Amino acid sequence: MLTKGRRSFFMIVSSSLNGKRRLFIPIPLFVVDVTIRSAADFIWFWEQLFGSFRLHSSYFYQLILLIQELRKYGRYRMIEIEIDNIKVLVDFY
Amino acid sequence: MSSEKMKILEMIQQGKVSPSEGLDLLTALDEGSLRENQSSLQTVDRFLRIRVNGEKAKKVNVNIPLSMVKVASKFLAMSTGFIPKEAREELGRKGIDITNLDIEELTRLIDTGLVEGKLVDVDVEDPQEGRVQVEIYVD
Repeated sequence: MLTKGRRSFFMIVSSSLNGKRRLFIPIPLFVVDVTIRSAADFIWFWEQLFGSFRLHSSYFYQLILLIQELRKYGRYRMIEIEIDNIKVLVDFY
Repeated sequence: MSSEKMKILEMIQQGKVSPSEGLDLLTALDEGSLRENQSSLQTVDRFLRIRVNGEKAKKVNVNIPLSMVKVASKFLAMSTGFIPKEAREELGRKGIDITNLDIEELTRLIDTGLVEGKLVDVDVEDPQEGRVQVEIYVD
């Protein structure tokens, strides 16, 4: 399950009903990472110009760390829930 | 020095984050970049695993990296301010004070290494669900 020395690039949320795949959402983590970094930079810039912003830029830096941690483990399955005929998976690739 | 580090230092200077919070952020950033550059030197990675197995077609399997729990706990400490006042009051009526969560103790436990083995091991007989086994452990 755990592949050391590799980074995850996608989070894939999928669900199936009676063994047939119903939902498949690939989330590109590298895009999310860059987007949050950009948002953090924007809010930092806003704070420098106009003072405080409703969301503090330090929240975004914490979020960046969270994404970094999520991506550190390469390929692994984070969540697998199976109830009756419904199955939900969250995988990292 | 990276721009993120500069911004954190500026936030400390402006008093937006406390020096200890800033130090935590800088350390975490350093650790992140070190791991990126020296992935072969990674320490042993551990997961918090939650398993629920029901007799009647119920299965839950959750694997959370322990280091992520550590980062998320700091995020939780910063995010308690976002919880609506009504929700905090409701929790207060039930005897739960979310602002009193001992996040530092939790991170200290993770730093020192949680005891390996089962944290929770419950085996119950439910009239509707049948036998349900719940396990939470670190490995």
